[in-house]
Amino acid sequence: LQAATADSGIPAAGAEVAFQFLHSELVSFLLREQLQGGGGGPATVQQCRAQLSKLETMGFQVGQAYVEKMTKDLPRFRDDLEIVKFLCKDFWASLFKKQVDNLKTNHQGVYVIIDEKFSLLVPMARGKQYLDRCHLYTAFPCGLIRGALTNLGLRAIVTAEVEELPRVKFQIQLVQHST
Amino acid sequence: MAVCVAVVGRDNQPLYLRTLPHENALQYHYLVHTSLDIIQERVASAAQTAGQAKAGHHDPWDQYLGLLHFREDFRVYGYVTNTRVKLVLVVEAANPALQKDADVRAVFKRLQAAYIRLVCSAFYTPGEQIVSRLFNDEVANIMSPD
Repeated sequence: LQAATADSGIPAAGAEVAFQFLHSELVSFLLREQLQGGGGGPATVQQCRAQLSKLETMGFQVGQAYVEKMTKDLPRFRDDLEIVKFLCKDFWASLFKKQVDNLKTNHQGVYVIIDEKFSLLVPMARGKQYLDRCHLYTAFPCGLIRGALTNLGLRAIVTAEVEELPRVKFQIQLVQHST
Repeated sequence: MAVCVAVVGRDNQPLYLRTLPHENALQYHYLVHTSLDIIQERVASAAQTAGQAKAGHHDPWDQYLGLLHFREDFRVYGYVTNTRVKLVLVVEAANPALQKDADVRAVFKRLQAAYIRLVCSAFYTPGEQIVSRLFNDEVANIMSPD
């Protein structure tokens, strides 16, 4: 999985699509029951959470390695805002082939990233269909962001909200400010 | 030819230290440990002088920190990555191959490339001790006469 995402940084035509398919398969594999409408019961809800947590951890590890590679030749970052801006521009462009559309902050450790056409959700639907299941597909990207931030020295909680596909709002809350 | 290569993690924990085979490693542990203070000082002072570009001085935000200090016949160089991992290189003062800044930078680039390859491997988590044989061999290549 790391090799696949490392490849998607290199301009190879097939790599981006390969990553999207791989990600879809990953979600299907881990969440087979939930996706087939396996429905209620506390046991399955807990299982679902455990699997989502696994997905997010995978994203975390990939994000860490990826950011190590990406920041190799860049000068050191001066502050938190520069790190988040790097995330929105270079990191996003390398992984999802476009930059983030909007970045908001309250200057107190909370950042909101809005991507109008999030590339992992674009092939699925436009509008409000499948809204109840898209949180399954935003777990890995949340992990990616969290992994990248952690390796750059910022511990954070990352959550995602989807009100209408393929527009995704990622909220980053810094747990403690870096030096 | 370097006498010692060390990789220090984000929280200043030693991840890797390799010296020439016949040398006593303990003195190099001390040497690297003292250089960590200097690295911290340089990083902090870069944060304070933000916005003041001085012509002719090297960029305080560069990852390469340059010569950290002299001690007896050794020179110690430092390099900090964006992920706060520190690379320390100890060189004999009289070494002809590594006199110029450009040469030392080239060595650090190779070291960083080896570290990145290690991080991308599925068998290594950042922050752990480095036991990879591949990394070991690459450092041996860097340290031995090319």
